[in-house]
Amino acid sequence: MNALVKLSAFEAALAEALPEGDLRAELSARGLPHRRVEDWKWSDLRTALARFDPASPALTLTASRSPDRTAEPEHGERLMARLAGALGQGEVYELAPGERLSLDIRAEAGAGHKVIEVIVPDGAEAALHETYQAAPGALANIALVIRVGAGARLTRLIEQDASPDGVIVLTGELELAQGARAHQTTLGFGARLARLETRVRHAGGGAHLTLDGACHVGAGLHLDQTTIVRHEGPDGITRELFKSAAAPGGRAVFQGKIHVERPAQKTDAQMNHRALLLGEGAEIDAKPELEIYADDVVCAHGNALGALDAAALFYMRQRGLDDARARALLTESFLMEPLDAVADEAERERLKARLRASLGAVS
Amino acid sequence: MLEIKNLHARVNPEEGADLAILKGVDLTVPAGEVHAVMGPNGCGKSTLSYVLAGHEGYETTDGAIRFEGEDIGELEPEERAARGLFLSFQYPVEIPGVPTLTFLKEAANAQRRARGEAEISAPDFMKLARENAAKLGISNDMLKRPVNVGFSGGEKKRMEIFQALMLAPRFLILDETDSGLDIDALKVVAEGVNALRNPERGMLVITHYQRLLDHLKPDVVHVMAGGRIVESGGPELAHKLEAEGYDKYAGEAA
Amino acid sequence: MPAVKETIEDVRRLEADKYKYGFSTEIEQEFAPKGLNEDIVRFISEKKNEPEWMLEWRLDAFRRWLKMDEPNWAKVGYPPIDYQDAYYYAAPKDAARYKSLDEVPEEILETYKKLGIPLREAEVLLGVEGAEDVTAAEARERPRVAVDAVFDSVSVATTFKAELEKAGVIFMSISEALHAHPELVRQYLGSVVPVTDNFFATLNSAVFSDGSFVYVPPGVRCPMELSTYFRMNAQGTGQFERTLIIADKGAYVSYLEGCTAPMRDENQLHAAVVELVALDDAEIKYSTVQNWWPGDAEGKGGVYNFVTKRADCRGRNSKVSWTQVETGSAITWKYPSCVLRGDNSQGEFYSIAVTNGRQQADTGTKMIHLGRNTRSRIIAKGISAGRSDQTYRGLVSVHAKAAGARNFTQCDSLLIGDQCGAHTVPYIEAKTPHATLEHEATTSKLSEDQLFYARQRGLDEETAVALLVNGFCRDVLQELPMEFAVEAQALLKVSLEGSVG
Repeated sequence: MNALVKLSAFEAALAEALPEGDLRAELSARGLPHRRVEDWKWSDLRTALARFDPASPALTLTASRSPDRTAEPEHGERLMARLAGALGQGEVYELAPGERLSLDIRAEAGAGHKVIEVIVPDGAEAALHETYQAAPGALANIALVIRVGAGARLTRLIEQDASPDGVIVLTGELELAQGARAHQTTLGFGARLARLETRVRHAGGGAHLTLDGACHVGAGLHLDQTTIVRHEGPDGITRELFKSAAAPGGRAVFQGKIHVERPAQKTDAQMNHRALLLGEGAEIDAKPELEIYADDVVCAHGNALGALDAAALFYMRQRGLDDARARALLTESFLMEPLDAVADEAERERLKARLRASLGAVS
Repeated sequence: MLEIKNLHARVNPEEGADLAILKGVDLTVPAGEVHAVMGPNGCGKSTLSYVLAGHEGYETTDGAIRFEGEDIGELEPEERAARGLFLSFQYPVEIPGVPTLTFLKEAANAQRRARGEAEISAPDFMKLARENAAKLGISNDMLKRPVNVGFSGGEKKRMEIFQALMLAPRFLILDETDSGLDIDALKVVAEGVNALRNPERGMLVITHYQRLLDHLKPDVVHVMAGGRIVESGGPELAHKLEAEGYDKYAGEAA
Repeated sequence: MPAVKETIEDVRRLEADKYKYGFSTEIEQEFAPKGLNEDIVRFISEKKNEPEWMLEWRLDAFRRWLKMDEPNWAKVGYPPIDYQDAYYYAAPKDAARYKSLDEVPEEILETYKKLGIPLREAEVLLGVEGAEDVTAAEARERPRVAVDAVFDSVSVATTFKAELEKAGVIFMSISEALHAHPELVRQYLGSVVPVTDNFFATLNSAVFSDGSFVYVPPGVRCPMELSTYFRMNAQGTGQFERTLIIADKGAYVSYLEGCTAPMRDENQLHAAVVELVALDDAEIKYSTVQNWWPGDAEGKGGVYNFVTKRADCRGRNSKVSWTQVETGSAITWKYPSCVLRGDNSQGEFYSIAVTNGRQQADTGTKMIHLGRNTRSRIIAKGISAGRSDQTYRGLVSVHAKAAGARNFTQCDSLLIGDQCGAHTVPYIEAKTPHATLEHEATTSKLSEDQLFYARQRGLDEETAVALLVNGFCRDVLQELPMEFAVEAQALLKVSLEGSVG
């Protein structure tokens, strides 16, 4: 067992706010996740929050409608999600067929926690749109549990606004019932530390999951996209495509794990991560992981890190573009691919415009 | 030489639904003869070739397969191969990392050992390979590649016939060997097959079209429909089928 | 490649006894008392007549080890190891006094004979019986291999000494080197794997018993392959080899390490350290076939193999290539690594790992790119069968100053049966935009279609499986020296027996 750690003022205050019990004991003994915790190797939450003050939190959730319930929603087993459950309010939304729910979350000050449960009933088709932002010195710690019923379809879009000096931790847990389909797209710009974690259970068989993400992490910012996909039932399909670009001084992290349990025969899972380092001082870290216990499966992952293609840059400059423009264009075309799969055209063009603006502004 | 009596077979329940595919096939191919089996898609032609070769995905529920008087219905695939049964696959399998010649030499010697014959020496094997490759227009480079890896559909079929020449089987089953071949390749393959014809060797040519049969000139043509042989005749039957199609056998499917 | 035919024949010989290396030699042993404390460390040092600085070095390591925790991040599970319940030193009596092979007890020579190492022969390790089909191999001159055999803890014989000396190559046991070349040992020992590197390496530093020492002087191409057969024999003895290889400027050496262990019911601990140093323009090729006793089908017995292997590509244009075939051990914990410090230096890792029965292996590599234009290549093939679990764990790290660095990684896993596990855990870190890193991984099962196709052509099931697995591993097998490739292919088949059907 690890020795007890010396708590930062932030951690001590957080522990103080918790009722007596296991969670408080665990936080007091181990502190918040840090770089020696395997899952947080490249995202040192403990250090990022050390000088924050959790007192007088201000977290606002603006939803497109009021919740169906506000009592004790599910929040999952992860430490940060449990903290959100213990310290934050909860809301439950049961989506109607065809509904498009939007949730806009902004942490203005202190440590804000929130737990949200979203239910997509069997056979329904619905959309969920989330936006996250944290002001300087503020933490947004959100746990989201999403149940996609049998044969239901969910389109989920996550936008994470650039939040210099703010910290965002999102723990999303998706459960896919038999034959469910889910398509998640993330567009992120980083924060002092931003962790967008997506955990998916193919609980029933025959579900189809697509996880896409594009991020452009600016100078001094950090963005960690972590996905853990568990195939428990047979015949499931998973497709992941993540593209990251880190500007000088920016750090993009991708951790992807595909776990195939013994009963999950005929699983077909592909995970792809490609990343660009846009200049000196940029950093990309990646851990694409497979854990396979069933033999009749097709699982693959690919990961490629590098710089822009020098030959393409030269070609564009020979045709008259200046270096900066050529780089912006190439980066843009590199990052756009995951967004191309967004079905709604207006939405897609809006996301692309945001990405384009970010590239013009930072790189 | 090959006698198939009242053969019934179904897809092995482990592999899918419990589906009967062969429903009483009767067929006899004497040594020295080439028989063609024609029929519409889904009539059981390819299943017949798999069942004859002993594929574990199919279960024989009734009837018998006799090869040179011996009941081979219960034998393992390699035991049937050692007795001289060669299947030219409709979709030849790619085996990455295993060079074609290594594979063939392993196979030839495994068969020889099983038959109590002396193994073939490396120089003799190489000489034979060069001769047979030349007959089929197969380059040295193709021989060096792993089994079927990176070959076009036509090249794979050519390599199947090359393997047949190398292993000199007593009986050939050609499963849709003409599919994926252009006219020139078809001619080369047909010449290779014709070179294998001799009074001791039998052949069963499974095909949807008659164009390969123009080159092979079968002794007997059988029509298969609904998992049975429904008509047999001379080479003229193939031409009739080409002109009239399989519609008239549609009712046999029940 | 004619080796496949040889393989099949070799394998046929091996088939007679699934673990032909599972015998033990009756020979008198001299033990240190059971357990581990400073007195044991002193006992080992004294037995070896070591200089004072070496004893201090060991004691320092031991004291640090006491404060360390056993690592638990690898995906392997085993009951707690009682480090006090093992012997840390066992030497064949009179071992230190052999002057020639004639003095080596007959039982030891017999052991090596059974392992297929004819020490008395000049051409060692070659011409595995029954290999007639080696037209290509016979055409070229048979390479010769010098053997430094480690029988439990002490090196019992060294061949080819004279010729190596003529070339200026130093190849001897590390205990011997401590006396003959103390300045070299002192300069390099622990310079690649520091004393406090990790729990098992620190333990090794305190109690290492023996191992090989190689020094190839500037500009010298070692005239033969160097080889060590490690072998554990005494019941309940741990094995703590220490190997140190230095290739000075412009030197080249190829080193073969083969391991077989006798069948044992209780688990045996093995914690080796291998350090490689390549100076400017030097190249080291290090090949391993590891076939320690894996335990029986129920997971009883077997070797715990916790190995630290690291190469320091210290010089410009230096190159180190690790090739391993891992079929043995109950637990494998092993990550042969390269620190690519010199500009333009290169690291390679080629690995085949087979687990069957209840074996657990967590193995891979680390490529640390520090210098400019450094290149690394990782090809790992994992085959899991039975109820085994196997993990590839690898790190590719490119530091900010390593402009022009390139890495290519390919990890393929093959599952045979539905009761085993195959896992891939790569860590990739890049801190310079002037680097290109590519990683690909696949998991698949042994194809029924391929098996049927091979059987239709006349191969029986086990031969067909061996052939397909050899095909799957081909990219790595062809990196092995010829004589090792043959042994490796034989081992692959033996290791996978009974895994299909």
